[in-house]
Amino acid sequence: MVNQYEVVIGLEVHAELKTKSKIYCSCSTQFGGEPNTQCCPTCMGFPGTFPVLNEKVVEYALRAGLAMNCSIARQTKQDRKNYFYPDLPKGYQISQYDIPLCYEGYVEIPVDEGNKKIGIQQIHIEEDAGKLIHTEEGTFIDYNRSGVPLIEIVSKPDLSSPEEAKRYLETLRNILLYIGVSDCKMNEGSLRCDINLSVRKKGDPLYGERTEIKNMNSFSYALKAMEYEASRQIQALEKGEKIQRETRRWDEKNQCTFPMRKKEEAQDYRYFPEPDIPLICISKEQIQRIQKSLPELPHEKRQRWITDYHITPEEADVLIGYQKTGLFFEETIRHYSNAVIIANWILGEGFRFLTEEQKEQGEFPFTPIQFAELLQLVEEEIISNHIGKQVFEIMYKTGKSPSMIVEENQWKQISDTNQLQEIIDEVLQKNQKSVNDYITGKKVALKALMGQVMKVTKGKANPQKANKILKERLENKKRMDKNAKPMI
Amino acid sequence: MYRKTVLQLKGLLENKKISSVELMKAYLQRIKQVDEQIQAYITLQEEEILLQSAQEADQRRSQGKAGILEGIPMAVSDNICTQGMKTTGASFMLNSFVPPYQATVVEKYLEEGAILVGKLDMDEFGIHSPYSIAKVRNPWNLQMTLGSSGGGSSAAVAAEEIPFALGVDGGGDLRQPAHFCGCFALKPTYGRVSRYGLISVAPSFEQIGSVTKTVEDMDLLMGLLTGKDSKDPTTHSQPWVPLEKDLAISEMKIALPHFSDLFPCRPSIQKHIHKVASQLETLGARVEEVELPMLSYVPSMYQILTSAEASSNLARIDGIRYGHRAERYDDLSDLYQKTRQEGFGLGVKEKILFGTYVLSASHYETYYQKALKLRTLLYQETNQIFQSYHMILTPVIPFPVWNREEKKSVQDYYWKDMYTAIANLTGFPALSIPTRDRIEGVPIGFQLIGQAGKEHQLLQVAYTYEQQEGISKRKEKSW
Repeated sequence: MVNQYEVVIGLEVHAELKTKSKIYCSCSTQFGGEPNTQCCPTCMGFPGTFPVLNEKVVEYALRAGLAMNCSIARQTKQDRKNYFYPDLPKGYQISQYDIPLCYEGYVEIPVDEGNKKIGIQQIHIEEDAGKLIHTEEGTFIDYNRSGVPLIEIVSKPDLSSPEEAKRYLETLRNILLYIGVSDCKMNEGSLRCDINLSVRKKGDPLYGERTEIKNMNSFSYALKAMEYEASRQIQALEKGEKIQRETRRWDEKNQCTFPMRKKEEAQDYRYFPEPDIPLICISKEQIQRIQKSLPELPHEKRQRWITDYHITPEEADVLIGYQKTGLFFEETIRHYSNAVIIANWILGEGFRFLTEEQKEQGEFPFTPIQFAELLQLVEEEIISNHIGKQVFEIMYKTGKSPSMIVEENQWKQISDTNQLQEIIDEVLQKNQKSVNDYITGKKVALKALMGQVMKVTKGKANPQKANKILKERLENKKRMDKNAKPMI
Repeated sequence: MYRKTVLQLKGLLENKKISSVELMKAYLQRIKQVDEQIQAYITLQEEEILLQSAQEADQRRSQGKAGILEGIPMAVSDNICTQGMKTTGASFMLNSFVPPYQATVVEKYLEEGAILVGKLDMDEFGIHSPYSIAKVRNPWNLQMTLGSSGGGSSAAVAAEEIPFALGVDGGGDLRQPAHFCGCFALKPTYGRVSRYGLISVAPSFEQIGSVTKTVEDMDLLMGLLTGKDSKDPTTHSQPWVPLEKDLAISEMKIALPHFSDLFPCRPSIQKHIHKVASQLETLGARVEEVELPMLSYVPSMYQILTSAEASSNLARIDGIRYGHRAERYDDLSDLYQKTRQEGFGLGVKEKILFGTYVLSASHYETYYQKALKLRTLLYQETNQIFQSYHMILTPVIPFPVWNREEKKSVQDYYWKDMYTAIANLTGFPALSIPTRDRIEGVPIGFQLIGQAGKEHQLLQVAYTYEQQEGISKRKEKSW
């Protein structure tokens, strides 16, 4: 039954821009300040104040637009969206209605069969509202967020599964992070999305009636909400019911969506051109300058890492997702050539220790050069892989250089053949029983003896070499033993 | 002393013929004498503070640190924010609102040493309506109307309660009362003067302008106000061209839009304007009749667009952060409804309702969008006239003065702004100029609309006319 249907999803993503000051006044945009300490008469909508557009906001939005292959409106304007709510101090939000700054673009998302283009209908600039704080004493309003700049990125209905939609969200997040226009911190509300979802029988040329799920601020909730909503709609259609055009909300506690308001109750926002802000004109030169200043974008980087460095797509996704950790990875490559090993160590050892925050910040307590040095020590068999991991842990905890740690702990691997022979002979002498076991054909004895060698050397014996010598010695003994047999 | 112009007072102060303290006392005396009847002031600064300020002005002058307007009293309409002084917009909604910031225009004058005497009465938020409860009277005839919302500014100047005043012109609010008070009023080119601190109702229409007794005062005062302000993004930095007194106006070509049957301009007014036209021709200007077909649409586009903007601009006055809030309410929407129901007057409510209607999804195209297109067409037609003419001559109001108690018809209210609103719809500057004529003892004037940024040409013609007609030297006084 489910297979007869296909899901159609379009997303509206709101991202807070990380400009220092707000979109229409000079108040700080810093997150987490004491309530109402980052606001002024302008962003609190006092009479007699006027919005003065922060040029950085336009620049950041253009960066996003160009990174998402959009066309740029050479002359545009802002519009007022009118509605009453206490967190909206002017009684209208300054947004953009019919001439968005950026339009008709796309991003590519990785899918099983390669890449899929997802159309971007438009990107426009607008202001955020304040925040209501409900307490037992009543409702309070914090205007610190009022006037923080936002871009709204509207996709085309090109997403055909919740999984794809999640991929798309991750792609957008990465792009915004890489071009440096947003922190994309969902827990601070700097990235939020509205979901438009409908289902239709496969092959049906018409879209089904859609519902909108408002204000999702977590990728995993969004995924669950989309999965729930898709199956809810399919079940409803199967029962012969009609889908109502309505706005719904995700209820995390009960794991379902529930209706907020019907289409007939939809607000009329009475959009009209904002008279207080002059037309926004974008020059060719400005577009070219911004286009040139764009860094390598995350999907390009991902592809390059897979092709040139031979790391797996899964590894690449993780390293791209933690942008600063990815930078650490790239920096290490300049000092140590085997990228696969670097990736293994970062994702294995590194991620055992790093907190989520440190992963995001790429906060290793040592430099890429020190990290490369460690990998070099392992590669040159100066220390074993096993010791290497211990060195890594100490580097992580103390920030000391790996060679110093190896020195201090006398962890240098024993690779000298004579030295190893001596140690092994001693072990064999002390473990006659295991030697006899080996001679009588119990191969596992080799492992036990190797363990003894490592124990004696505190793990410093070069395992390949030690193993080789041990085997030689044992085989020798076996031969001698055979030769002795005819004496019976 | 209070009968003097700003320029005359400036001279007297500079030559130490009078002191600022003496001047302030004279005005305070005058206000006490007449304001009970005129009721131009809605808020008056405390006498003690005013005299203290005047004393400080005298001190600065004696130290050689006098500003251009040092010690000259000024007053501004109550929709211009004054830091620390109550600014109500003549609305119950803001009846105790004290702004924590200063309007740029006020700041500019204060920096030049002017002393803020008080705030002037007007219709609620500058919205003129049949339901007006403004108290201010016309000093020339207390029974007669002031014509529009910004009456306090002109009444105060005409009654000699202040040498000049600032006010807001969104469609004729300054020019119409000036016309009925025998004063000059200028609506500058849009963007000339910062609106920062103006309690804006129709932001794409409003400019702050001055009401003065003479053209020279206007030139001096407006020159000080213009320029780019980082707090109002619509301002620009085009320099003010000062008045050249001895320039002839014989080069000036003036267009007079044909009086059509499509709109009800009363014959007496047409006659008056033809008389002004011939007076201007006598002075050397060339006046020619032109067609301005868009003129008959001015009232509708003006009403639609200003109402739309007002409905949105007044939304911020919701009782949440400042101003009046209903004492009892059940929930959020009840709070909004009761607060705004109690706080706004009928004229404002009508404007908001109409504006909300024309912006609503089902009427946007029929009204708002069409009006926007007409606005562009009006601009183009007017601009076309300016290809061949320096300025346009029109009446200020298409009918004679009326009794303030008289209920004007809806049509009259509709057509009243047809001439003055042209300047606000197009952004062009316009000057209201008094004549020596009177109707019912009340002065009557005319309007000149000029090219963008060319206020000096308007002042040039007005100055020549003023000198020839002896306007500012008139014997007869309103009070």
